[in-house]
Amino acid sequence: MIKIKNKKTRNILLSILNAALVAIVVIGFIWVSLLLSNTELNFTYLSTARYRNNLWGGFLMTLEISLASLALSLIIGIISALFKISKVKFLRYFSTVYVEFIRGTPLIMQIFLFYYIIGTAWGIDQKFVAGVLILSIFEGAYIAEILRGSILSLDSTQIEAAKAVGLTKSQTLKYVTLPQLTARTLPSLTGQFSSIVKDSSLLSLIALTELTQVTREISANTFLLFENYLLLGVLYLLLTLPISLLSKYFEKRYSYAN
Amino acid sequence: MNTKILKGLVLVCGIAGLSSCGGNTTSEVVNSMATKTNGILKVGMELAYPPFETKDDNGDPTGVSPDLAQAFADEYDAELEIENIAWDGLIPSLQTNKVDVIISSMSINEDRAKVVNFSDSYAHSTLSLFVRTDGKIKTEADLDQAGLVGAVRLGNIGYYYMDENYTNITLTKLDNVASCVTEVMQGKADFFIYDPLTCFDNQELNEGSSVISLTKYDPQPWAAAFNQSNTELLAQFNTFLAQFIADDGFTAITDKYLSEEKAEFEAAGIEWFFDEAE
Repeated sequence: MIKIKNKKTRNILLSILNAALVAIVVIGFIWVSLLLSNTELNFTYLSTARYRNNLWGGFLMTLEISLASLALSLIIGIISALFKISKVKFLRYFSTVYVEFIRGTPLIMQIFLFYYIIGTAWGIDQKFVAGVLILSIFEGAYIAEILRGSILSLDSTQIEAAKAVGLTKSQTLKYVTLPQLTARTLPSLTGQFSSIVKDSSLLSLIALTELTQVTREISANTFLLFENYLLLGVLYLLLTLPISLLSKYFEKRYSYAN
Repeated sequence: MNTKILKGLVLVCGIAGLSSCGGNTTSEVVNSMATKTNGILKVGMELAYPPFETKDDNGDPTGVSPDLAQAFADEYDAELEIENIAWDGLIPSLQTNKVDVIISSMSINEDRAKVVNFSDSYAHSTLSLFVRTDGKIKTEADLDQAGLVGAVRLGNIGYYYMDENYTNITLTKLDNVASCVTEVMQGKADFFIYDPLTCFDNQELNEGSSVISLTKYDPQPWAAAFNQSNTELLAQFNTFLAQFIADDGFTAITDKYLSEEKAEFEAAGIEWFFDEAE
């Protein structure tokens, strides 16, 4: 047995060992489940260029939808949060109705309602545009709640203190309010972006050719349900894991705020 | 008190013994069915295609396929269990032995035949176009024009047919019939390709729509699908089916569920589902 004196090296080694153990347990569990259910996986369909190209196209489409929705839902979320703390009653009520409706109904219903009724009525026929709009409106409500929560959590005495030391309004915003808001919202906002990526899969219901839709098409042709959906899971993880890590990083980076 | 319990136990054991005894004798007398669970026939179907596979007012399976499945189960004295499974999940359920057989108005096609064994066919279906009366498509030949958008249901035979034969057409691949019909009626798609029965039903529901039957398409036979490892049950089904057809089983089923539709098909000059089997 080699004795490792350096505490730091030992810690790193222990981490690697534990990570490897977790990986073995998880992969082992899936493997045993496949064995027990007599499922043989057959990924030969991936040698067909058409399927590979479609998958890549779907992956990019999911990425594009997610990025566009991220930007738009942030704007919608900020506006809605401002409405909610506004002194104008109409705006406050409007924002409340919007947030409650979106958070209280399933996304699948909103997709059909928006695409076939509102989209058709107002001439939004392009699937990509419709998809991004629907997803942004959906996620915007959640972002509004995250923002509202952190705005309310700011102590009002801080603003008074800022005033007392002679800071102007814009200085207060720059040095007191915004840094704290960033620290409190960034980790949950990044987490919400993960949801955007996953929720975009429901847009396959209006045949938007994103990753899930492409997977459904390939599995309709190959009947390889498990292979297709296992791969789908891996591809979504490729998108969501980095976001999750980023969220963790922000959490650590801004932990001083709490 | 104690004696009561004892008596009860004796009674229960007696009944259990009797019933298990009874079970044994029947399975010895009748040639038992080659299903995964002895004495139970699990049939997978999607109960979303009336009147072939649907639910009655109590939510129980009813229609052509449940009747056919019941007749098959009765023939071998098995208990019938119908599993309602979404179309995408039917073949995977068969492959993982969640069901013994699929009886769900499934057409035989090359792709499917690679992964399941099909029985002899018992019906066949043509394809039709559901279109808007004021739309781009008036006849089958109009399908050759450029820039068309067609609504298809993923995994449906119309999807495979369009995918293989009409590369000029952009396909909107949807999850359910209602979405496909909506796409056509709102002008998002120029047509929806599906079986004539569903097309006619939706024509009645939607003003300004019409149905065009496809003559270039060879009617595809429907069959029951079996796990490739279970050839014994497949043979049992084929034996049963030959007898069922000889006994005019499908004529009885048509009279029960489809008399109006048959008249409609005759008027439109479309071949009837059971023309060969009846």
